[in-house]
Amino acid sequence: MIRFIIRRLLFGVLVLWLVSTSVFLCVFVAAGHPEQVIGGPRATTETRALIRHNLGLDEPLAVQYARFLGRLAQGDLGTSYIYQTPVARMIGDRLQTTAVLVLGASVLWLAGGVLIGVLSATRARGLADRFATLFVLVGLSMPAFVVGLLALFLLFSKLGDAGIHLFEPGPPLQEHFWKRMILPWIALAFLLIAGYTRLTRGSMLDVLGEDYIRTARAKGLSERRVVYRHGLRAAMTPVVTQFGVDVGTLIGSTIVTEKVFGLQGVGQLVVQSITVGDTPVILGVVMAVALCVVVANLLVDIGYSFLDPRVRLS
Amino acid sequence: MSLTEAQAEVVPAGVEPSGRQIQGRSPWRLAFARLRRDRLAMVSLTVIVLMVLFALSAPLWAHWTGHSFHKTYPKTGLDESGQPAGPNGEFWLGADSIGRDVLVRAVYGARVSLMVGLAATALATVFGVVTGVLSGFLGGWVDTVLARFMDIVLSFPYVLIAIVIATTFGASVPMTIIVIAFFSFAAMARVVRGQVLSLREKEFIEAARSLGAGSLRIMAVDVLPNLVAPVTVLASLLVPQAIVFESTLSFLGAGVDPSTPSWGSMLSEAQDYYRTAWWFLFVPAGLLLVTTFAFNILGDGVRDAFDPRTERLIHKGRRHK
Repeated sequence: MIRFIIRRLLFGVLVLWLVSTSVFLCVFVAAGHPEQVIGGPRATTETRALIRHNLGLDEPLAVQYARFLGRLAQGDLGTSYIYQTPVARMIGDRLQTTAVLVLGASVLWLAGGVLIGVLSATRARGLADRFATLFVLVGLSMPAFVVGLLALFLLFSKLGDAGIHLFEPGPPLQEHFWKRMILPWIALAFLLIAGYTRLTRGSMLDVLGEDYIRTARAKGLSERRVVYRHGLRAAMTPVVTQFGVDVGTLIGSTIVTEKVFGLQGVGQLVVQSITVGDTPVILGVVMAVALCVVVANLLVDIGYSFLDPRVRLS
Repeated sequence: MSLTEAQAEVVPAGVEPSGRQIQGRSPWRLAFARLRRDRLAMVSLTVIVLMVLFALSAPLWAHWTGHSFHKTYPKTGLDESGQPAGPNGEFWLGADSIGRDVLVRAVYGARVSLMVGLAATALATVFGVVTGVLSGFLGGWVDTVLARFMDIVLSFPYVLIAIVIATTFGASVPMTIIVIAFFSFAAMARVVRGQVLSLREKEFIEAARSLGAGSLRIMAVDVLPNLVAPVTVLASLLVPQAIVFESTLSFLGAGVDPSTPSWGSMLSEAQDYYRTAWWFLFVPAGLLLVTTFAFNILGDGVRDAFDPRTERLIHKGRRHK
């Protein structure tokens, strides 16, 4: 078990290194003119040269890279070109909003997906199952921003401008918290429910075909007990795995939902930073998200081996 | 495996009361016959064909309406207060925020969205199959490296990385295709790898090897043909994903360059106008949803058609009737 965890940890570090290197090359080599961003359009050539020197950009690539990795290893994500504040603090502020969005939606999609998945598996090929399949296909066909825009349109046609102004960026999250979060939660969860329904249904159908389910039925257990106690528990393993991975990944994937609903989260931070060319922030967000993904995967791997004894043995 | 099972099943099917003559049918023909019986899949296929024709006929629509896709018509397209005109005789599906014809832009957008979807899927399929076969067949360190690489690509918030890549190298149609293909190939490679891992242990591979065939020949002649079914199924499901991906990137301004009309870039412009100009939102959104929905249903149909278990269900259903 210890060896397994150490191996996964090393793999996680490798991933972080790969990501940081590729993003470093991408952002700093291909598009690196921060002196224009910091100095503004009217800066003189001398000012620009000075800015480049202060940032260490006039040094060879290898030196810059080594320095970048060194700072990263100490948890220093650099300083924003625009705001001159530590990137780590900027991300910390935004991470709260994104986390609230993802966690709130996760409750909805997990409950919704598992419920519909179980109903659809226990009534396979019935009417409910067909509706669920249709729903899954609709969910898989819709881009997140279309769901968001349609939700806003519906809200607007019901409530008019009063409902919409809640979703303009600006006020802190605490103001009108529930009113502002319900719709983004639903819109984000809607898409994921489709995937979880499909996953739960497939897993449930596999499990319900197992011998021990027949045994459970043969010894006279009620159908409900067979399905929920014996079936669902075993069927949840892949769902839990996927859930862990999704929560980690979504920290970096809610960009669209944040944009549509005017939430000031991590995703919006990236979009805004790209527009103005604030490279340390982009790099910082990618690294922070990579860390979230790696940690989530690690937790899932460890959790998996506790949930499913077969994994532990092999 | 599944293919031989499928053929074995044809035999009882051939002794049906109808007394038809028994003839050998290739797995492809069997799958196609099953697909043809799937009414929903056929409807979807029709929708897709119509959408392709719609996209191909783009210059015709420009001709009929007399509007080009990039020109603005501020005099007729916008009212006195600068709001876009709704659907009327001049603009059949309304005008957009700067007075361009929504219908004509949507037709040209169909070209971009479909092309990106299909090209990215084709690219992802080629790369995915090559990586998957190499990884699964060669094993050893090649497999370790490639499989880990697939894991990394699959576990990443691709929208975020795609935005970084697209803004670094500039937004354009070829760049969008490459970015989408890069983030889709791993799904294909993983499936192919799994298939190859089990194929590798089959007797016919051993037979080929004992006849003196080299690894390259075995991969090309013996392994590849057995991958046709899973690859076709996955590729047909990758197309709608790629279309959704393109529209998301374009919506965020990191996909095709903003002057190129695509459904995603139109929706991006429409997001501030849904209150006053619903057509601006609903035309591209509707086309996008109809297309991806049709591709998804067709993909499901293709999967069922290649899965021999479906045959059994269809026959069962018939006999009970």
